[in-house]
Amino acid sequence: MIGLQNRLRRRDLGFLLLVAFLPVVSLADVAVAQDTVTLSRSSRRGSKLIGRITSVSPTSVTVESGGNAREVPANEIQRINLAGEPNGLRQARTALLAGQYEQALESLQDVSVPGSSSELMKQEVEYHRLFAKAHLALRGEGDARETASQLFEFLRRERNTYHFFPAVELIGDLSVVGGDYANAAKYYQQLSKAPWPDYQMRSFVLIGDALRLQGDHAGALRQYDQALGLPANEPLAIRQQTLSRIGRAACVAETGSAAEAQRELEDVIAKNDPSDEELFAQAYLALGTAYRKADQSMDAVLAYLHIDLLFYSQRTAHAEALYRLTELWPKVEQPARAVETRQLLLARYPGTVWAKRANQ
Amino acid sequence: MLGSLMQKYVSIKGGLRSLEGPRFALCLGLVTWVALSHWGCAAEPAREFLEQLQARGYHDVALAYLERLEQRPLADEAFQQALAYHQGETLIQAALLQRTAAGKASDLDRAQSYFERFVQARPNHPLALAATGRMADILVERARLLLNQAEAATVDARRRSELQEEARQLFALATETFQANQAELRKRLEAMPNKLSREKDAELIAQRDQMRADYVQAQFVAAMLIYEEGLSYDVEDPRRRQKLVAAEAGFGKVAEKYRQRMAGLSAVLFQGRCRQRLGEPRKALEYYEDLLLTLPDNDPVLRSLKTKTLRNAMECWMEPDINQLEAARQRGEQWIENQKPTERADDDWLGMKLLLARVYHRLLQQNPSGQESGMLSREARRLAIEVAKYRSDSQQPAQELLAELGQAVTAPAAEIDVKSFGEAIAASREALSRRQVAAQTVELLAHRLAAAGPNDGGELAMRLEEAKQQVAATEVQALELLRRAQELITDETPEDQVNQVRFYLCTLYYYQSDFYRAAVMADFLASRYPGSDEGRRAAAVSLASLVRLYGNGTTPGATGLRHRITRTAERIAAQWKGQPEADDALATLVTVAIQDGKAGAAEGYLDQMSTNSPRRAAAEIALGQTLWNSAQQELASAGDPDAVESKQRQAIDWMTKGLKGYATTEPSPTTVAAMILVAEHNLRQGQPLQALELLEKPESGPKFLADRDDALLADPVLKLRVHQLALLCYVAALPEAGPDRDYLTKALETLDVIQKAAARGGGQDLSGTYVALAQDLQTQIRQATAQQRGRLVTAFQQFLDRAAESSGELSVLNWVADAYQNLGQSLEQDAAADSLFAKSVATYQKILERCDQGTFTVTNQERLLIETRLAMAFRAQGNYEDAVRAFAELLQRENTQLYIQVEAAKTFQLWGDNGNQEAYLRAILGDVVDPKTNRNVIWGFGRIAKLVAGKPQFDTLFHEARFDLAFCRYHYALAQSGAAQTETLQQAEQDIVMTAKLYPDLGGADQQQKYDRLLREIQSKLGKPVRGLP
Repeated sequence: MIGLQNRLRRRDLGFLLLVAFLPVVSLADVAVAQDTVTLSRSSRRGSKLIGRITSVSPTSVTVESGGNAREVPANEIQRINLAGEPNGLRQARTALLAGQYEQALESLQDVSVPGSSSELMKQEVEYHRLFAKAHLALRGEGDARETASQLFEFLRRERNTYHFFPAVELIGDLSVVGGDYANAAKYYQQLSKAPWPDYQMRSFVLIGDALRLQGDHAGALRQYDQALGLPANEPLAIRQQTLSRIGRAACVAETGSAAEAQRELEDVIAKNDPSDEELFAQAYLALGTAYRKADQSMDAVLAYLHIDLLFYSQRTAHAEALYRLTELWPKVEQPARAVETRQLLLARYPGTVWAKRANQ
Repeated sequence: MLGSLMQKYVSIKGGLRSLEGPRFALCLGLVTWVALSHWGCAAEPAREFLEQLQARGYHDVALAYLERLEQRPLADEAFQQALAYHQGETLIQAALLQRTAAGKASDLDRAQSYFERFVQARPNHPLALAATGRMADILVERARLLLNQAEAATVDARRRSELQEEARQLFALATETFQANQAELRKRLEAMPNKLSREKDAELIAQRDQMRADYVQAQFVAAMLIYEEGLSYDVEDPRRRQKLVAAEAGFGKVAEKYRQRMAGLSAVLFQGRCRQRLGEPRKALEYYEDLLLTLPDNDPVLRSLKTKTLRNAMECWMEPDINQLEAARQRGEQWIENQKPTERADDDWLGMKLLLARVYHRLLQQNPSGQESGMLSREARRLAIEVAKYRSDSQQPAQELLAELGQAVTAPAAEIDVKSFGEAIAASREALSRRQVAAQTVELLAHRLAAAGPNDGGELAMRLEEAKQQVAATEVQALELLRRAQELITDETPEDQVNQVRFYLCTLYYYQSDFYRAAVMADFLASRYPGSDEGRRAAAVSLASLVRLYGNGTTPGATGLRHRITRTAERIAAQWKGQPEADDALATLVTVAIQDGKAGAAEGYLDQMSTNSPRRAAAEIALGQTLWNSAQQELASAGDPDAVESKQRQAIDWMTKGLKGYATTEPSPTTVAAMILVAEHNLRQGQPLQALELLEKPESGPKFLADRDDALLADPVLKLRVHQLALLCYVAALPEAGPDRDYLTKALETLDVIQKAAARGGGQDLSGTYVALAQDLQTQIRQATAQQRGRLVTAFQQFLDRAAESSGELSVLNWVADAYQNLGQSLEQDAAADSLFAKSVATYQKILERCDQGTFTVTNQERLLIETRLAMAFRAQGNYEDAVRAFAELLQRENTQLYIQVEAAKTFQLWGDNGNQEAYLRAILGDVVDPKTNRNVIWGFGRIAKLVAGKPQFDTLFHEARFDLAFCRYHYALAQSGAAQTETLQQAEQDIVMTAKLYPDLGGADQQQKYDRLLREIQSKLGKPVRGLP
């Protein structure tokens, strides 16, 4: 007993002597890996939640941290990083957020999810793969119908995925690309079942857009008006109503008064932030339509050029804008620019309906 | 940006003299300020749209757009108010792309009318001054055109006089404008509030700073216009002197007030020029010499000013009145030696080379048969040939000088005898192909020259020079041919061939360091023809040119350039995703993001880069270093340790990835820094072998470079850090040592290097290394498994033995002795530990011996410390007699050293713990009587406590002494029996109870607990109720 005490004391003394002139150095502890839920910017809850995901449903995800469980609505989630997830999944997620779909697929190519991994991890890998494929198909690089069917199968199997509503919307979008507007409307209709007002409105907007593309302007107007008739206090809901206004104006331009549509669209542009690229691309597309209908070619060129020069990241809108420009440049005595624009359209969006039209 | 565009337009397209001053910066500042207006508010994104239209060359559409905004004010109010200004600017840019002089003139006329309209309508607009500046610019250029016409040989004297007069009127008008601008600026500056808050008034402060800068420029411009007007008079005309003297005074005011600014320094140059033009070179030289002394050599902006100044000074030294040819030669040669490749085609450099060639020629004429005559003739000819290759004001005089020197005049440009576009483009391709061959030869010879010995370089240098001249000559030829091709373009010329011409042109501009024109042309091609091969290749030229223009970010307009670089790179990355162009662009974006401190953005760009891109590794390393620096900053500002650690891990991951992917073995400061950081991390993670793999990597590892005194590790601090790190790694890797891994020898060799380096640096660095080594040693042994521990201890012991044997340094021996002791304390087995303690004792004794012999010189305090450690080493060894004797000797000399008294008392206590009960009493009461004072030399805990009682600074020590006193008494009692034991136990109880009564807080909660526990043991032993502290 005394011997041990003695040894301990001797050590203490030596250690104290040493410590007296040593700098303090802390060795890195290995942090315990946890799930991270990153919230979208519009969320007011703060940017991240770190903890353990305990349950998932189409409308929410529950995160447990320090003994407290927090339920996060699915529409507020920007992304989820799972503890111990493969690098390829992380890289793919980053690539998807940057719109780099081919790179995302490449990153996911070598990702293998061991059988012992959580169901959520397996779902994440599969959904991200399908998401990338769907977006490639939307710009004409892949089979839209097949991808839609794979997404449908994914939803049938993973009924509780928190990606449910975005996946449903994607199936709708893929149906639009394939020209199956009725099927698109069926899926868009599903969005109205979401518990969030902005999704209910988005359902009307997307159905309206699909009808408008079929040429059913009256039907489209009804959908837009329904969206506009709902109460909207939250920014996301207000945004959907603004998209309804844009869709409505596009219908008016096609069927009624181009001048009225122009006024409406200019008002939308004046009252919104151009950093919302989707909204602005849609607004200028509709404005281009209004000017085309009014035979104001240079004004239409200016509207479409806004998309070509500023909002080109909106690929679908950009492809249409390029197509319209190929038609309009000769009218403003710039045939050479029409040739350049057509080349750009064919090079960038080869599989789209707009490229096909340009080739006819 | 627009200001410099205008400047280029004037100097290149117009073929006129440049103003040589920073006048255009007046407009530049204001335009930049406007361009900084942000995107993000709700409105038509007019500013960004206009900028993109202009960048794509859709000036016609841009003008149509601006006209529509006049009809329907959809843009924000600020933009709407400045519509006419934007129309003027758009027309200036449109003029750039006009092929005919008439077209250019027309665009400029229209631009002027818009500026006039704008100023009339909005006299108080922030851009009004910039607009008037623009109009004045146009006036000045028109004046220069007239003066240029006046100099033509075909113009008669009367017409010449008329043209000069007309030019002066334009100068006068421009002067009026600039003066009005100056007055207005002053008024606006005076109207600014005196006190501005950096946080609340950021925009106002930016405006004020810009106006201040503009105000300085305006004063400079005012003097410059007088100067130009003065030069418009003939030399005999008295008005010339009058104007030049007035200009000198004007420049003088600027120089006096703003000597620290570019305008002030340029003003000094122009003061000299005024005197030079007045035919007073000596007075001019006073200004030039002053400036040459002031200006640094390597500042990118001031370097150009210095070149101009030296050129003018050389002219003065060559004046017959002064005739200081040697001064001109020496200074000229010295400066030209430092010429950078990008300065090759610069007018001032060419002018200076021509002057130096003339100096050689004059020296040759003075002494045609002198020793240097051959060299002078050769050098004069070489320089003249070089100058004659480039299109500049000096080209013709250089050809004339060559003729004078007896060298056949070689036309720098090819004889252009092409009649069709097809012929022109074919000849251009041929010239470019020859250029390519010559450029490759230059590269090859340069490498060979670098590797050649001092005696083998002469021939190579000559061949290299010839190859360089060939490159320059073929460039000039290709340029001429391409210009000819442009002239021959018709409506039938296929667009792809026109684009080829454009691509060749932008590439040539780039080769010739005309990055501005290269960027404009390449951007046009890349944005308008993205689908073509030329468009794709031009994108890379565009980005590279912008990066070169940006330089180190200190040039005027750098902010605008930075935005443009980002936009261009993002466009390229999106357009040619997955191709080398996109990866290059992404690498540029990573660099820009890193410079902006946006690690997240840099990571995003990196994620988009192809995994096999050769640019990726460097970008990964740079990102890792940025993250590391950021983590260090957070650490310094007491950031969240978890977040810091996570960031550090990310940083190391990126650097490790980058270093793995680094294909080249060519080391750089970046790779060295990254390797050091990663190696340090590896060591901390217990992976010394991985760390050594990096440090010792042949040709690029920091230790490898440090050992061969590579210039990359010229900084002694960095070098020492590398050696220290290597030493720690070697020591940590000792258990892994083997026949092919002699880490022991390497550790000792490195220790020797460190010792020598530390001796040169005062020895301060050495202690840090020892501390780190000691710590590392302790940590490793603590973390080792039982099996590993034995091997570790043996290895360390071996290292310490060798270090002690091979080193005669006090610091090393001291550390070795201490390390033995620490090592011994880490062990469980007594036998091994005792051997280490014995070595510790022996080493301390050796040190003291050498001190006594005078080999080591130590201060009293240092000796005291060594002796204390020796005494403690005895104690650690279990040799309490010698320990007490050593303490007693020490304390006899230094009786009041409290910490030594404590250690001495503790020694008795430990002796008691080891079976000598009597020692407990001596721990309490002290021992070893001093015959002189008849008092104990070693005080014991009782006296220590008594002496420090009531002194707040010794509160902890007091309670420790009181506790130890009670502890020793209790343990002494345990060895007794019967009444004696009871009495001693009661005394021990009283020790604690009395202390608690007198000092109720008992030195804090921890100490209270200790007292309480001991008291309970005593009470229990006494058979009393165990109540603990009252």
